[in-house]
Amino acid sequence: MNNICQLCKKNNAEIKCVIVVDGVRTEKRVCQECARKAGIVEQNKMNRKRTRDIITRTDSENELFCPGCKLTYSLFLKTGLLGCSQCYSTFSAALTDILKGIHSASYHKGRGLGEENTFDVAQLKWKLSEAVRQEDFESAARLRDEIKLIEKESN
Amino acid sequence: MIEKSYPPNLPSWISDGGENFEVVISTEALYVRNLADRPFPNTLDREEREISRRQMTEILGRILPDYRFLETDRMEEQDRKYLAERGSLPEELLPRPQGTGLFLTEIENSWVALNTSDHLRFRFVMPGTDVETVYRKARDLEEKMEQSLPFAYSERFGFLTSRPTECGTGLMIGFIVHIPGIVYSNNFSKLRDSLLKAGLTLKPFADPSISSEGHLFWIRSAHTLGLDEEEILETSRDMIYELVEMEFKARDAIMSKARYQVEDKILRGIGILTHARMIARQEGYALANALRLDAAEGITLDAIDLISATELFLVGKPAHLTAIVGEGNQLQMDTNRAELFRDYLKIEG
Repeated sequence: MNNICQLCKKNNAEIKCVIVVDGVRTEKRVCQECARKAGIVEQNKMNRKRTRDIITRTDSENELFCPGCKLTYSLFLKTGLLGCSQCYSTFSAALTDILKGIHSASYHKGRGLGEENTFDVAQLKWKLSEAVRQEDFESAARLRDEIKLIEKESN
Repeated sequence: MIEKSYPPNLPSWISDGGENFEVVISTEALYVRNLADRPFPNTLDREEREISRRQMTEILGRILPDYRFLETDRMEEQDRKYLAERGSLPEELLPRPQGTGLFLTEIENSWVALNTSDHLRFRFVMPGTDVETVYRKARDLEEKMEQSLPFAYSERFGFLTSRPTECGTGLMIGFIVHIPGIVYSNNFSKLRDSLLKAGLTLKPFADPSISSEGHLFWIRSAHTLGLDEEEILETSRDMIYELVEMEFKARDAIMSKARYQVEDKILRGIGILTHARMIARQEGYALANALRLDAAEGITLDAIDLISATELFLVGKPAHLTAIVGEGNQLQMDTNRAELFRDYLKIEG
């Protein structure tokens, strides 16, 4: 009796599905045909694939991790936080799905970084502050000259 | 240590008032940025965060002369809570302040937070509905920083952030709104659904653990990827003006259909405020809700002005109450709250 589809009451029930309406969970056992009619199969397949995907990725030593900051995919799933810029390329396949879910988009639109020169100077200034902190005055002097040169050229 | 002060010293976005202040208390623009070629702060240990803070502080100190710098990990917990209650310190800096920092303006209309889960989060806030000004000011800040700090960016994902929910433009527009009309006329879930559809989120302004019948909410744009900045501004602007109209209509409707019930709620509130000797936090919020509606619409006795009624939401919070009237146990806090609220009323109890 338990194995009869609860929708058509004819075929064998092969799929267990959980329906949640207004927070109330009901479980139904249905046959392949009824499930397909109700659009359950595709959903279920997709979920199964995604779950399998996550399981293989997070499985033991083969787990995907970011070479930049050593963040593992399972830790990212747990905290929701990425560890560095490189994580975006390391996990890009999974992120594409996640971003589509959040933003309904997976590509940036609009303004980017300022002009190339601005970015270069910013990077040099940052390196300069690092050199000063490490008391590497030789590098600091060189960096300062470079910054001056670029700023003079762009003016 | 924050000095005890009475009358309380409040941030400019609450005490200045602005366009549509009856409904929209403030508008903010928030940017999230990270530095290129180095891990985000959430993967750094304490020492590494301190080093990166020192470097950023050196550079930002020159760019931001009007801001004072606070080493958040050296502040007392009470002071951090005090600033967080008034939105002048991101909540993320409350539990884990090691190696973090905050640049804050004197009138607290802008801050730049260092080493939250991202290297830089910065915001600008104005009273009322003023999307243009907050965006322009926050953008100015961003441009200034971009001259000296190399931001992490990719063509595909835009500005890179530790949370995938914030990458892309890294720009969010937020509002604090007071919507008793919409709540009383049972249109709240309709509003929440339409905000969600338009890509905005809504959460209670009061501590979510306090389930008071709140009428004060945070609304924030949730999509940072796939929309450019102009589109984000437009969506937020359209939504907020629609919401203001919806709230005014709802207030008119309840005033014509249920004037006595509303007046009853407000006058009972005033009765409690003038005579109660103890007011708990949750009750304080409910009273502030009723009084602010009264002040905005001039319904009853003109017992309080709109700005003072808005301040009630803030001064009743624990860290503020402590800063204004001093420390105490639960009992003393409730007594202090009642006394402080009574002082705000223009009528004698």
